[in-house]
Amino acid sequence: MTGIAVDVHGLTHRYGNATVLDAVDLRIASGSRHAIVGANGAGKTTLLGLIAGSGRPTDGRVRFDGRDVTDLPHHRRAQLGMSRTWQRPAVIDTLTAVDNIALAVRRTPLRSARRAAIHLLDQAGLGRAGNMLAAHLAYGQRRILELLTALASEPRLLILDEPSAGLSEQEVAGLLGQILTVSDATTLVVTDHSMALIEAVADVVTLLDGGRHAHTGEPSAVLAHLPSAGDLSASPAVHAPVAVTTREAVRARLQVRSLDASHGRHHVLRALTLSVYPGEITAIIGSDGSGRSTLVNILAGLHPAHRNARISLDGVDLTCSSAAQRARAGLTTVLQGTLPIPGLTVADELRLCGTDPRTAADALALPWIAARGRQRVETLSGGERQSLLVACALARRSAALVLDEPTEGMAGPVVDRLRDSLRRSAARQTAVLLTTTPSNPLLGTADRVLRLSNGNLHDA
Amino acid sequence: MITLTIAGVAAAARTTAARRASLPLAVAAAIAAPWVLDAYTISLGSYAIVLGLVAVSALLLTDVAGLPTLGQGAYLAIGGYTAATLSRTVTSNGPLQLLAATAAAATAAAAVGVFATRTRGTTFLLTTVAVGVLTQAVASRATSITGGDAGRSVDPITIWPATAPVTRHGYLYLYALACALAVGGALALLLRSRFGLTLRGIAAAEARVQANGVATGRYVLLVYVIAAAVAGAAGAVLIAVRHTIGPSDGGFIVSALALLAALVTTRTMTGAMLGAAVIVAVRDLVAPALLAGHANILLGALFLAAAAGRSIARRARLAADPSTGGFP
Repeated sequence: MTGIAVDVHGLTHRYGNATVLDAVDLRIASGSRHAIVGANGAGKTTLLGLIAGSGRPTDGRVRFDGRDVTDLPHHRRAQLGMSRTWQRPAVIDTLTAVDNIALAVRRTPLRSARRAAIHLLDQAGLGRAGNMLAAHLAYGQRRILELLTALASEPRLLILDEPSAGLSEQEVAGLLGQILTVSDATTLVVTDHSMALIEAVADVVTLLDGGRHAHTGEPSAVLAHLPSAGDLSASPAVHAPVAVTTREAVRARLQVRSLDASHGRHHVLRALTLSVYPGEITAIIGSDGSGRSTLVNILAGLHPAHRNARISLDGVDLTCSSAAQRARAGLTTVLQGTLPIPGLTVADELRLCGTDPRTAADALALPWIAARGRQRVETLSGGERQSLLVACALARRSAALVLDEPTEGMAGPVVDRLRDSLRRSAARQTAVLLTTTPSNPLLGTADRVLRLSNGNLHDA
Repeated sequence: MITLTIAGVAAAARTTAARRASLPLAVAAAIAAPWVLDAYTISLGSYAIVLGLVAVSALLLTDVAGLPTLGQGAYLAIGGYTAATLSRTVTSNGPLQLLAATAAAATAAAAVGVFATRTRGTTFLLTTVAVGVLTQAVASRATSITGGDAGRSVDPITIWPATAPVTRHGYLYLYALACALAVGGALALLLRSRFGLTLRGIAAAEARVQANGVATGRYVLLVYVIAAAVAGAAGAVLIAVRHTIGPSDGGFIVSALALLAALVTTRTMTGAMLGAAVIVAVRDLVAPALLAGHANILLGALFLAAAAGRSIARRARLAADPSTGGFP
């Protein structure tokens, strides 16, 4: 007989006046692969956090293997066999990859824990990164590292919060391989916006809607209830590039010439040249570690380029300008992994970037932004925070808009709105540059798709 | 050779052969000092070691465990008064006084830490300031134990039972140096262990460490106690080299100077010691010659210069690197 690993009863959670979870009942069978799906703000992360112990519910109980763990702190639940990952990979930046994992191997001398960690890294194909500081790893590697750290304690319950967020198709495949090798003795609870990943992993799916338990059942049955599933696996039609002749008649807004860049001794970008034209959406695709984020950070003025590089906006040279000067000159960037400033309300955050809730809500066609101006940003869900940052950037109506992996954590319907918003920005003669993974649904709206590999851009 | 470097793997990755050699060279120079320098300078060197130990204690909390502190002077005072009391009542044996001072400071920190380590960040910082100010107030009021504002004077220490008291500045300096090396070596081993890694983990991502099944609160309490023990040892060394202690010896200025010494250079134990040496040299050698009575002005200017120097050095390094375009 299969036991119940997790039994959630009447779980309710409020942040101030906002009810994030509303009397959720849920049973997760031992050894099952249970997915939690729902729109941004449906309460997925809150539910996972309450199970793992990173917060206390306003009401309701959580039982783990028959034991009431509602009042147990995080580390006690971990000792009972729970393990988890976060939406933004929680790794210890100041330690090496090996030590990150070794710390999770309990009741073992450090020396043998390190050997076990090296073994895990080798198996995951990350052996070469073992002695690197976690801070220096690429985003996808950090995700894998976090997963390996969570697995290193040989948990009986593994909780994964959006493991595929920000990963390329290839990396999701690698991650999926890791997840599928998780022992059957381990119960798996996962949320994700990639329906491909959910379908490949889950045998049971629960749909949360506005903090309430909507359905639980077979994946195919529940996924059918999802509004416009944000299926990242659908291969988007790539628009034919705008004819070169017409483009040359228009002056490029954002120009990059002979750009070289390094991370320490690692030469990431080589003599890269790029023109982004007004009214055009240019997408740059590339795998993790290809230098996508480095390029965006250089454009934003946050990472040094080599000496001969030239960056200009509407003919004005910005190569030596600071990040603030670039922003004032009309170059707006949204970096991957930035967060709104904790302690601010939605309206404050928008005021800081020179706009207001109504304008931002219109910019991304998300009415909640206007309605929730007084809500504090740290009580927003991960997908809502990302939407807020992107809405901020869109509302600025700047000459050039650069977005690094903008759909990370966004639910399908929001991605659709972002696509429309980007088209509207382009119609206002904004030069739009977005960098993303090759499978991103936004690519469907791009006028031009370039591939970043070996440090330079190629036609995709 | 045990490396005293505790700035973490980042620093280790940047370690060149020159940097690796710098520690043995610094230790050799420190040992040779009594044969080169005059008695007054050597007595300043002894005090620099005391301040350096408090700086190491502040470094352990602030840099390794991510708990900013401005109150380590309190534990120097507790250690110092314990050693002084022991000297007046029980024994003139220096190593025994050192152990007692360490234990007393650790015990006091365990009691205070139960409350203090429930906080983090600025709240923790303010708690440590409060502990420091309260301890100084008690030191000046509890006249029967501390001698009040006049402080306590004691006889010179002995190193071994039934031997003559040590009075010469050179020997006292070497005793202080030996204490500092012993403490530094022990801490270096500790920081390389699972405990040390866990502390860095707590500083960088406490939730991750909790998810690994670690009761982070106990680790934070333990490092608070260890840091206090180091500062307590500094108090006993102060008694050994100066034979006197007063309320201001563990006051806010000492805590602040220790934190600055810890953070102003390379954020390693060696760096903290060197920082303390520079502070003492500026305050007691340079300032009297240049700006008598205004040592703190010179110290303030020194730290502004050091802060600016770090940023200038970084720019210079980037500008000199052919791969970057002198990027700010």
